[in-house]
Amino acid sequence: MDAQKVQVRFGGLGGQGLVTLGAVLAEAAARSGMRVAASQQYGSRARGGATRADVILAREEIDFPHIHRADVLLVLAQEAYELYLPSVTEAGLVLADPFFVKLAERGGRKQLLVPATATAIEKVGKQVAANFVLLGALLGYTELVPDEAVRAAIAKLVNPRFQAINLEACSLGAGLGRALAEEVGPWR
Amino acid sequence: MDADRVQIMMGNQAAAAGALAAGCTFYAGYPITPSSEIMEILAAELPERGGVFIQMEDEIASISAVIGASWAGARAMTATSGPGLSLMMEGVGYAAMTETPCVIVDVQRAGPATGQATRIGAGDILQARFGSHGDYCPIALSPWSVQEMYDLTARAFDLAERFRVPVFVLADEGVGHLRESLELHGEIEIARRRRDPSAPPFGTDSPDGVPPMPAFGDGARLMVTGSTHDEWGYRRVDHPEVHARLVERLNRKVLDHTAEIARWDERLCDDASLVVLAYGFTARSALAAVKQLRAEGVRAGLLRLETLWPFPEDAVTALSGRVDALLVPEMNRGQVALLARACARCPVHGLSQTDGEVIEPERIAERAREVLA
Repeated sequence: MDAQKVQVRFGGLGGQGLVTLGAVLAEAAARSGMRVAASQQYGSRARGGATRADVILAREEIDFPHIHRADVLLVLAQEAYELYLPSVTEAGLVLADPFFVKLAERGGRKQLLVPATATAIEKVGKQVAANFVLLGALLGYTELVPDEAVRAAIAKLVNPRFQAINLEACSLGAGLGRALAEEVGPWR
Repeated sequence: MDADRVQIMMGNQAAAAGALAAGCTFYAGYPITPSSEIMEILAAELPERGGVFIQMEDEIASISAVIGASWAGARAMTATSGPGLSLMMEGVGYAAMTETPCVIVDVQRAGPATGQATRIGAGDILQARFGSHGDYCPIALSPWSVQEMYDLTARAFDLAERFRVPVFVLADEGVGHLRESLELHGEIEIARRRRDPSAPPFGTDSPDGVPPMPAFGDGARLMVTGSTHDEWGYRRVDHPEVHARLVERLNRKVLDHTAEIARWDERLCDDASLVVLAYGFTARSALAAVKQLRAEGVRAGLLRLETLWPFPEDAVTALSGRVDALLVPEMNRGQVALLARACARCPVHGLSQTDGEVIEPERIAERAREVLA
């Protein structure tokens, strides 16, 4: 990671596993020597309702641990896309799942489609693994944190019953992310 | 990163870890957002370590069970949020009157009443101090990071045992649900109760003293009552001098030791003309705001209160004598600003936000610019 600070926001609906993604990314980044702060906002419902999980990755101590503007937005729901797109910086990156999100042409942000849900259904056999396909795509595209740190974070934080499918989802996502980098050029 | 000592945790997880490191052996509680993770973790961990976990029918029963367990010799705690804290107030007064060590972690959310369960607030500051009737003096600590959720929960046990009082960890949803790295300390040294069955358990010769506290089962004849009692625990409900002496000592045993209890942190204050006085999660915004103002050439500083009760008046008075203005950003209608105004030597400006959202650094910086203009 070259920048001093990268602010990542995951947006979707309650139940899609965004808070888990935030925790995994934070754990992985800390394991690779970065300062991290992760937070989330959700409603009282266990499922549904716009939800976000935010992670700050930094080289230096983090004073204010919440995100003001996001450098990267990953979205799994139209409602969340519309709600959180304005928080993305003008030079920011958006990775959206076309199964749920229709991109609008707004600003100079780099907005890319990652078929996370389709991949989860067709290749993993579990739609619930879509979140980890999306995380994998982020890491494959941006190389924010090394693969082994992500694997260690999944091993620590994910229920052992679901580790194998999430590792598979993450690695399929990383492939999609690397392909995107070749297709549209690297991040930054 | 040292995988054992340095870990990423959520603030509520860190509070549970801090309690265990401090030797907590008993938890009774009723789950409530945004504090429930503390209960969930201790429900799994305490029985594994020979401790006791009980889910009670409500918060009044929870604090009552904690008080009973403490008298049986346990290091006892509960955790809750505003609505639960309101219910616990009867027990808090009883714990103060019976000089029962106990720890209450309050992860504050937006109130009043049920308010917004998943959103941040800091409306319980004055309730923690004055929520029960009569004159007593609890201790309250205010963590601003995941590290302090761990450290201050452990310190709460130490202070509770040392002074025989209820101690609040006045956290908020911001630190409770924040994930960041912290350093763990293994086992933490906590004050041990003096257990002297031959000495009176409710009085000392010193008007600010803390008497020894035997446990049920130690062999002493022991009476514990919330009514006015003499030093041996006998009810003396019609003796003015006994009541006056007891109430005096209940307060002075804490207030006379404010210098030992109260902690605060001054940053960039040496040449400051405006100091932001903040606590809890809002102090994180305040620190970012102060750095932003410094970058603009504004001489701003931060006074961050780690202890809210007893209120560190001397620190506020001393610092306010050296600056032009204090600015107190709070997620309530000015509870600490009210306290600061009573002891500050300079004008105290408030910045209140009660919408269930965090106060952003820019909002604090903007208010500071207004104050200085």
